[in-house]
Amino acid sequence: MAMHADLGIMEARDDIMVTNTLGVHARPASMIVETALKFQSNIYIQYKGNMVNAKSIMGLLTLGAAQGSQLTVICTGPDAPDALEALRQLFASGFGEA
Amino acid sequence: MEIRMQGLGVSPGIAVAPVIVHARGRWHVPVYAISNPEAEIERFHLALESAREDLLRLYAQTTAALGSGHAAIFQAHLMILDDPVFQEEVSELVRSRLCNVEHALDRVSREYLEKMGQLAEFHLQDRHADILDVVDRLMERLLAVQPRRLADIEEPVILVARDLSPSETVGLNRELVQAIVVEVGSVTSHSAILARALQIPAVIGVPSITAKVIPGQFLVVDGSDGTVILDPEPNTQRRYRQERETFLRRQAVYAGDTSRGPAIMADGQAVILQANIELPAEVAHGLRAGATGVGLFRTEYLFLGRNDLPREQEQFEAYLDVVRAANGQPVTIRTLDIGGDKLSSAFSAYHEANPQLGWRAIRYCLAHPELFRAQLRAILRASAFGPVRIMFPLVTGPDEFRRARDFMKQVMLELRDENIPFDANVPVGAMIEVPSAVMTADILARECQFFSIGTNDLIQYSLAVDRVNEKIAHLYDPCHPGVIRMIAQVVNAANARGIECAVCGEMAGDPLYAELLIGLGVLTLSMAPVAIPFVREAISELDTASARQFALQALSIDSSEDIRNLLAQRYTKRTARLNSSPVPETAP
Repeated sequence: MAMHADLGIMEARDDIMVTNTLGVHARPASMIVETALKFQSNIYIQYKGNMVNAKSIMGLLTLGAAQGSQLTVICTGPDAPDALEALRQLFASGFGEA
Repeated sequence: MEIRMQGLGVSPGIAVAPVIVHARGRWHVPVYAISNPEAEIERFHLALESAREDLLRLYAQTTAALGSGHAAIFQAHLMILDDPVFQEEVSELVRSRLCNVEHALDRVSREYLEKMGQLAEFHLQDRHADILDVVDRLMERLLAVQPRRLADIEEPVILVARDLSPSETVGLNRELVQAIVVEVGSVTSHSAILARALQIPAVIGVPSITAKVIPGQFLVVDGSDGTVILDPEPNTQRRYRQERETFLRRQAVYAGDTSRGPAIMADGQAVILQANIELPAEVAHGLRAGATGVGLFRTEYLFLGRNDLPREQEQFEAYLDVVRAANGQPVTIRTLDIGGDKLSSAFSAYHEANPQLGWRAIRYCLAHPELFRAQLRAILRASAFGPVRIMFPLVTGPDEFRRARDFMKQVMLELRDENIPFDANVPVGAMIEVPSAVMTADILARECQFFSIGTNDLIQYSLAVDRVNEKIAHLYDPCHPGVIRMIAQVVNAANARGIECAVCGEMAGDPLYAELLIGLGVLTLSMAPVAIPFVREAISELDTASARQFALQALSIDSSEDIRNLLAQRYTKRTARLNSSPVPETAP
């Protein structure tokens, strides 16, 4: 985590693994958007040189991250650490798949 | 010259009306240079705002009519519409290219759709269709073209389409759309389920009908038997209009009728009438039609049209909705009755040459303990809130039934350990729809607490007839002596052990067969809610002793044609009497 104290902007980033069997398909994509929209921070998900905004359903639908993919989540903004943690938990929960 | 076509009737009722053919909007998207990009972007924002209002209204309407599960599709559309990156990309393209917004919208959405198209393994077809839907909605506004929305139909019509999406089906104006005919689909397809819930007569599986009809041409549709007649002769039209009138009049009479509880035969014998339903919202239709509970709650809709499995909690909430709506009346919940080929291909690219004889229903559930456990837990949890019965589909014999029941007992123990309440005495029964289950009905009757005969599949399996196959559909014959003997054998096996034997197939909802089924000893019939008043009326004319005698006679007749003729004769004689007696006036 980096703190740009002069700007009052925090950046939080981490690698997150896709654990659910079906990968980031339609429903997980919606859940990511719903989670991301709760935060003020800008949230980006990077995968294979593709960077998409986590508040964009269309972007997430083109991500193509299957089970076992390693994603980088980058949050910047006043609530960056919380946003990162929320997404970490969402991925860890496997999006509630049975 | 009238042309008859045979499809599969999936939602009963009759319609005679002109045709409209529905196809997705194909826009000619103009490209031109603009000088004021901000004005162009303002047009885009107005279109977004108006589309959002539309979607919010559809969401609210659908939630009220069919429940939030079916309204979820509009939430998905709203999420696409509100995508900030998508909106910005369109606006940015307008600014940088100084092009009109329609062109920008078209280009940006195409790029996304192409990228999604490359991700075949993620099964994004539904989202693909959703994005097209949203783009169409915006284009309509931007191009100020007459919207082709099905919700905006203004005259009574029969709607013919290759297929209808769930959002199109729920958006239909049920006052004006008199019937639906589609080329593809199955009884369990989403649009068939929704048509039944909306009580719009529907026939599916009529190949290339969109090419054969001319818009504006008249059509006859019988959603009960799957008949579609193109360009009907005046006589045919008249006959079907009469049938439609009778159907609607009786429906209206019975809608105002307070008849509740069992149907009562002329000699006082009670026959229990129950509703076949798929959506929680349909329980109300059933109760309004006078049903005593739900005889068949099909749970497939929870599993269709999605990439994942419904979780226990989601299922529990759906089952609880039905149990609550049934208001203390019994609800028979059938466990999942589809197969690997129908469940989302996200689980496996599984295809079968012959799914009817394949890996489906109870076979599939026993092979997927996690799926089965979640469903049984959800049903059992709902059983704490009202009388619930559990029915296993496609049972082929005693071993299979025992395996399913033992699995359920194990699930009960787990719930007990977790201190989760459920009805420990929940009755468990088998759907009898495979000939081997008929032949072992005497053994099954020792294990089951009830039977329900699924006549549709039983007839298909025992006569080896696929009724969607036009060449042999006429061989599907409820009056076949083999079928009647099977029903008799199952009822006798049930009666010998004192367990209930219901019939929940189409035969139960057709007044023509009421006398035969009752004569064979069936005293519980479960059917589509719209059929209940008709069957109730037919039963009121019957007498136990003569029905019994008729059934014995039918069992001894050696030709299905003779059985059918006798059945029809007796039925016509009774209905002639009924029709000559005045139909009671509807309450104002």
